Order: sequence, then structure tokens, then C-alpha cells
Amino acid sequence: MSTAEFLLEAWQWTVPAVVVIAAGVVLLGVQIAKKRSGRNVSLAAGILVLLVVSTVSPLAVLASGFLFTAHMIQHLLLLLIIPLLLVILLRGSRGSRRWQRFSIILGWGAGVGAMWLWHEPNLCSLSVTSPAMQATQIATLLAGGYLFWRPVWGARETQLQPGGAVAYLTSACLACTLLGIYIAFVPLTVCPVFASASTANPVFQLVSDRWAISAAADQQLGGLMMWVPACSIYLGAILAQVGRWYGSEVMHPSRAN
Amino acid sequence: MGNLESQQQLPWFYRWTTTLDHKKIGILYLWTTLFFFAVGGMEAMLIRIQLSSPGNSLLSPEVYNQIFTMHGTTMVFLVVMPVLIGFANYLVPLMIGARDMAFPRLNAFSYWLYLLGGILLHVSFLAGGAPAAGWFSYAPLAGMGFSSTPGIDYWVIALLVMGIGSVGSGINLIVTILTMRAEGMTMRRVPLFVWMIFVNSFLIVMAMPILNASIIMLLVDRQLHTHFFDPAQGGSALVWQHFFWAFGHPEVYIMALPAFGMISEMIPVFSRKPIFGYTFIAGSTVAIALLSFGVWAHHMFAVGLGTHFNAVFAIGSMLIAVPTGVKIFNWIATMWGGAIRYTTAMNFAVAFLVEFVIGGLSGVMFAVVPIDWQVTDSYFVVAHIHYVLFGGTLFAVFGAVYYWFPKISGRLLCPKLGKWHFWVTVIGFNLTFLVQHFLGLMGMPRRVYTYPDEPWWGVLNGLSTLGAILMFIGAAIFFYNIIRTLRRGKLAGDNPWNAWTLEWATTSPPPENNFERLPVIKSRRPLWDLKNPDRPDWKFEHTGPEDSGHRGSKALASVKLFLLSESFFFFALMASFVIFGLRATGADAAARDSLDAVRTGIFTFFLIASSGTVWFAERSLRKGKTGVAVLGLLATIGLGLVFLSGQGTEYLGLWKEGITVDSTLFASSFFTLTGFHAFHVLLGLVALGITTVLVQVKRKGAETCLGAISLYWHFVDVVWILVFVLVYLVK
Repeated sequence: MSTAEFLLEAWQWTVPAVVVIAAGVVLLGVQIAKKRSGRNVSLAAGILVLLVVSTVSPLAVLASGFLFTAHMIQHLLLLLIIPLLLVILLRGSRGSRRWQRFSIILGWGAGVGAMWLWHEPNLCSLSVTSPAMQATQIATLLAGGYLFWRPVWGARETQLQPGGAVAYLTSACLACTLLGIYIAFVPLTVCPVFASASTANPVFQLVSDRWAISAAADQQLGGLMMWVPACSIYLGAILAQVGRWYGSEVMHPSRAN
Repeated sequence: MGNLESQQQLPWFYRWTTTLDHKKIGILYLWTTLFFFAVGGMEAMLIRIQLSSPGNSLLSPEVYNQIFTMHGTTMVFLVVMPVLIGFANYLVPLMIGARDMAFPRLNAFSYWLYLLGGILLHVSFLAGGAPAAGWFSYAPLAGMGFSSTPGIDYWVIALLVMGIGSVGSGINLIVTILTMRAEGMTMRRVPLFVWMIFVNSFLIVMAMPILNASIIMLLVDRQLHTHFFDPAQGGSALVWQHFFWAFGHPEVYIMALPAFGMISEMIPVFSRKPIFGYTFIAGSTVAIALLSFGVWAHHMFAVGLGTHFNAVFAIGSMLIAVPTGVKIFNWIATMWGGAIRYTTAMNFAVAFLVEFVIGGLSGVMFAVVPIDWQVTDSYFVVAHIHYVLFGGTLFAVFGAVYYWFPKISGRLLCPKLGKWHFWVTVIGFNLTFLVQHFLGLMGMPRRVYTYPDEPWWGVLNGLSTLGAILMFIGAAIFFYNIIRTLRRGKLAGDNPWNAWTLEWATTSPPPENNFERLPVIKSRRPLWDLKNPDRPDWKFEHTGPEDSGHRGSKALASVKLFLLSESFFFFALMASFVIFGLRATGADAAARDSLDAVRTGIFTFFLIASSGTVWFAERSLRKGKTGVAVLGLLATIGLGLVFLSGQGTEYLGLWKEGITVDSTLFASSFFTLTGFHAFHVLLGLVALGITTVLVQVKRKGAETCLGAISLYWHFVDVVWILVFVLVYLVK
């Protein structure tokens, strides 16, 4: 199988993926019907495209037991990028200040927790082999990511102050970095299923022969994905917060400055 | 501090050694760094004289190794870092309109630790030989097997002492900037120098503990015969490099960011224009600071980390060049169309732009892995580091001396001598280091005491030495200028440069309490507003909401920063346990299995319970129930002692089985990690004891004290939970 053939043919419409995308279409459709604007439509379209990329496209096929790095890129899309777009799209004025502190702790815990949880070797392998676990993984990553971004970019009333947001994001970046460093350097196999793929499978042959990526190199690269690109996303968000701080006119009088 | 009158009457020696005034401490820093600059400079001259011709035998290889190690260590840890901290000490409180630093005693303590560290490092010359393994002390060269003289031990102790001092300074500066700003000076209005010091102090607080943890492991290796960094015994020399550069790369920015701040103060004043793109400069600094923690492995391209590692770190390193590079355009745009006055300070600022760009360009070249492989360990690297640290940071510092000397001393440095100093230094500097690029490309290796007579090597090295002599003369002119000006320099007046930041709103030198009266602060240039009431900045430029007056608690801010620093220290120790402890095999695995998770779990429960009691004590004190609070504190101390005794029994049991710190790598990492945690518990117990007495006698401020110590205590508990999971539960 050549790379081009693979990219054309490897589209898998699995049940969990179809359910997630269908749910996405309905949810986003309702949202756009409520508030229709060019910005919202493009955000929704972006979310759907990324959902398809991360659950159906060749990336998802690679992530299903052949290329650990693809698995990590899938995580980044599902945990960091899609939920961020979703939070921006769904941003409303709802939100009670009473629960603010709780939502911050919950958001950080859910975002970082979802990231760490799925790298426990057994869970990581299960998320690839069992469709039910795969669906759970997609759901928890999306939900964790949504809860994580909400205090940063959610409703204005409950949004973190920029200084707090920088600390929130920096500490998450650090947690992510530690995980990335661990995966990149640890001599153990973090996700055993990737090391035991069937050698007869054409996708395996594509990865190991044509692309010449060994299992050990794959895990290193996967760890590096978690480390540098993931942190760049947090860093971009941090810079946006600093920009928001310098640009802000009025803030909550009680917490200004 | 409280008794200024009596301070004045003391003889000068006591006045200076007992001072808590941030200005006097700043001046002490500056004089001390000037002294060490002379020492490091002499070492540099010895190196250049040795290398002036091929096959020279003035210095033996052993002495040469000591000299270049001491030159690097002195310049990095005894000159560049402390001179920047010294300027920050003097200027930050003045620039934000404060009377002093947040913690004057901690400030003095940091300075004396720095001096002690400097002395300890040099004592090594008398104690059997200076360190000779480079400023980075690479393993296994720095281990006992290859460096058996106590030089490295002095190096470790000196760096440890200074590292603790630096963390103190970092915390002090952040808390000062957060809580001591004058009314109207919001965080969006602080001068860029203050902002740079603010971000830089976070780097110090987070990066120094990584160095401290790794040099402690090196010291344990050398003195207690463990093998963390000894590959022959199962350790890893590579891990030392990872640890060192995880500190070392942020360190590069620790030495650069304050210089950016100085440049950002001088260029606008001498161009008669406000800084172009304040927000960008300030914001991008945050990005640089964070990125600096993620690119360390570009110092290690040549050790064989693998293609993927190299590629990712190459991209990261190129990324970090972007915000740094754009700053150059900010400074040029500030000068663009301005009425430029070429004072000596401005000369050095402009030269900084040129030299720093050259150093930056060779830096971007290193980010390209094949180029790095080609020139690594050659004189090309020597040229690069000197363009960044001398042409960059030190040129900014020279500029800063000419710019702020009138404020510090009341007298203007002679501009004529200044011009001589500037031109001789610029020519000498470029002559010395530009040719080293070519030598590096020709393959001349660094850190070797001599070289063969290859074509052009002798000539180019001769030119380089000639340049060094010129720099030496330049430095001599600079010293002379300082001495002469202090005796009979022209009086400066309050604001000789017609500058706009608050330090120029007071007399030169400023009085003990800094300001008699502060101008109204409504923009980033309060003195401009004062002098131009018809067109003040705040009418045209928005700098965020008005000051709410809220400043926060010094005690809480400082303890949080301290814990931030401590968490990086424990990160490093836990990382070493993951690396060395978890992969245990054979005898190691047996030792690991003999740990009793259930028994330790019970003792862990006692420690966690103590978090509850200290919380209870805090709540009771807030409600005014002193007696109950004291009981809560005593219970906390009791539970802490139970935990410590549990750990003591465990240690004793292991010792009886013959498992000690030097027996296996697992044992080494186990004892280092749990031992340092126990040390923290012990310190916490002492602090809790003192707090109990303060609460009992109803001392003012006891509540704040208890708030701070209880945060620390919770932190120690959280760390233990992580350690417990890592050591006893993960299999």
C-alpha cells in the first residue's frame, strides 16, 4: 500500500465516530439556528471538519493501533483544539459567579486529568481495541477539554481574570510537559497495543517499512507531540490572555488590577 | 532599618555591612560584581595570552582547565547574574515609587550569600585546585573518578549558596513589584525594566531549584559515593546534561531579559520618543520566558538524542528567536525619527543592538542541527556566547552604568573617557570574537590549552589576543572613569537626561527614604506628564483601568512563590527517582519490594491528618480562639513527629538490611527524595513551633504567620502524597 492509496482508502466510519459526528451536527445546527453569523458558521464548520479528521480520517486509522504519534495528535485535537472552538462558539452570558471557584478547579482537574488518564498503559490499549472504550475516550476528552477551556474563554461573568488565566494555563502546560517528557524518555511501553500490531497488516507495513518509524521512535515522537506542540497551544492562549489584559478597558471593580 | 538616626552615626564599615537599605545593598552588589569582573577578566587575559601563539606553554593543561572553568563560572554566576540583580535592587523600588524592597532583611541575606559563594569558589584555589570541568561540570568528568581534588565540591557549594540567595532575590523582587507600587502605578504602567525584572524573577524562582537539585545529586555522588551520573555504575551522564540545561537555558534568558529592560529604558530617553510597542515587548517576554523551559535540548544536539528529538527542539529554538528578534525592531522603531542624543549610554545601547543581532544570528544557526554538529565544541560557539553575553548583556550593563551612575552617585561619568571606553571596547570586542567565528569554522576546538600551527590559526589567534588587550585597556579606562568621577565628577542634578521614570523624580543620590513627594502617576511616563501638563500621555494613550489601590499580602505572595520554587526542586528529585528508581532490577528490585507500603501508608495518614489540624488551628485563630488554635498547632506538631518517627524506623530497617544511600541507584534516589522531604517536614516543625509560641503570646501578625506556615505545611503534605504514590504504589 502506498501513502497515496492509504490516504484515499483509509476512512473508517465506525459506530462511535458516527455517533459523535451526528451529535455534533445536531448540536451545532441548533446553536447556529439560534445565533446565525459568519463567524459561528465557520467555527461550526471547523469543528465538524476536525471531528471528522480526528475520528474518521486516515489519522484515526493510524491512531487505532498503528502509529502512537497519530494517537497523540488525535488527543490534541479532541482535548485541546475542538473544545476550544466549541467554547468560543457556545460562549454565552450564562454563568453564575457562585460556582466560579468550583468550575476553575473542576476545569483544570478535568482537562489535565483526561490527558493523564488515557496514558495509563491498560486504558490506552483498551481505548484502541474496544469500541466502547474508544467512544468513552472521545467523550471524556471532548468533555474534559470543554470544562478546561470554559473558565478561560467561557461566559464573561465567570471568566478568569487574565493573571489567573495565565497561571491556570501555565500550570496545565507544565502538567502536559511532564507527561510528554515521561512518554518521550521512559524505556517502558506506554501504550502496549501499538508495539504489538499485526505485522501482516498493510497499514503496519506502511508505517514500519515505507515510513520507517520503529515502535520506539514512534513513542518518542508521540511524547514530543504531547510536549512541544501541545504546550504551544497553551502558550498561544497565554499570549492571548496577556493581550486581553493590556487591551482591557473595564474589569470587575472588585478584582481590577 | 527602624532606627535611621543611629545608622547614620555608625562608622562606615558597620554602616555598609549592617545596611538594609535597598540602594546600599544594590551598590554593594555593583562593587562586588566590578571586583569579580576584574578577576574574571584577568582569567580571560591569561587564556588569551596562552592562546596567542601555537604550542605556547605558559599555562599547563591542568592550570588552563582551571582558568577557563573559573572564567566561565565567575562571569556567569559572580558577574552577569548579580550585576543585573544589583541594578534591579537599586532601581526597582525607585521606579515603582516604593520606599524599599518588600523584605529588606531577606535582601541583605541574599547579597551576603552571594559574597560568601564568591569567596567559597575562590577558596578552592588554596584548597588543592580550582574546579576544572567547565562551567557546566559535565559528568562523568566532574565525578570523583576524574576530578579528585575538592575543586568541584567548592563549585557545588558555592553555586548552592548563591542559588539560594538568587531564589531569595527573585521572590523579593516579585513581591516588591506586586505589593509595593505607589498609588497609580498599575502593573500595566510599570517601566519596562521593572516588567523584565518581574518576568525574569519568575525564571530565577523556577530555574534555580533545578540547578540546586542537580548539584546536590552531584555532591551526593562525590561525597556519599552514589552513582547518579556515573555511567560505569549504571548512572547516566546524559541525565546530568538534561538537568543542567533544563536550568541552563532559562539561565541564558535570566542573563538577557534584564538587559532588554535596560535597553528599553535608555533608547526612548535618548531618542526623545516613548518606546514603540510597549505591549508587544512586555507580552512577548512572557512567551520567551515560557519557551525558554522547553528548548534546553538544543544544547545537546551532538549527544545523539535521535532525529525526532533534534527536529522538535530545532523548531522550538527557532520559535523562541521570533519574539526576541521582533524586539530589535521595536528598539529600532523607537529610534526611528527620534532626536537621538549619542551619550555614552546611548552608544552602548546602539552597539548592543548590533552585537546582539550578530550573536542572535549565530544562535539561530545552531538551531539548525547539521550546522550545530559541524561547529559544536569549536570556537564558533565561544564567539556566539560572547556576542550574546558580552556584546549583548554586558554592553547593556555598561550603558546602564553610564545612564544610572549619576542617580546612584550624584555625579556624571566623564563623557570623554566614556567615548574612549566605548570605542576601545567595541573595536577590541569585535576583534577578539569575530575572528573566533572563522577559527571555529576552521575546526579549532574549544577548551584545549593549545593548538597546532595550522595555516592562519596563529595569525587569527594573535589578532584575537590583540583584541583582548584592547578590551583590557577599555576596562581600565572604565575603572579609572569611575574612580575619577567619584572624586571630582561633574554634579548631575536630579534628572540629567531629562528622563521620564520615577527614579529621576528624586534627588541624586536619593535620600534614605527615596522620595520626599511623588508625582501623580497616570501613565507610563509620569515625569513627562509633569513637565507637559498640556499634552500628558494619559490623554492619548490608554493604559488600562485606574489603580484600585489593591496590593495583596506580602506574606502570602512570598510563601506562594517559595512553594513554586520548591515544587521545581521536588520535580527534579522526583524525575531522578523515575529515571533511576523505577527501572530497578536485581538487588534494586529486591530493595524496592522490601518497602512496606501499608506501614508507610498509615504514617502518611498521620501527615495528611496534620493538614486538617493546621487548617483547624488557622480557623480557630481567625475566630479569636487562641487557646484552641494553640491546641491545633500542638496536634499538628505531634502528628508531624509521628510521621517523622515512622520514616526514621523505615530508614533504620533498611540500614539493618544493608541498604544505604550508596548501595544501589534505587537506594540513592529513594534516600535523596524522601530525605529531602523529611528535611522539609523538619523545617516545617521548627516553624510551627515558633508560630505556636507567637500565637500563644498573642504577638501581632501571628495570624499572617500562621496563614503562611499552614500553606507551607499543606504543600509538604501534597508533595508527600505524590512521593508516596511514586515510591510505594507505582510498580
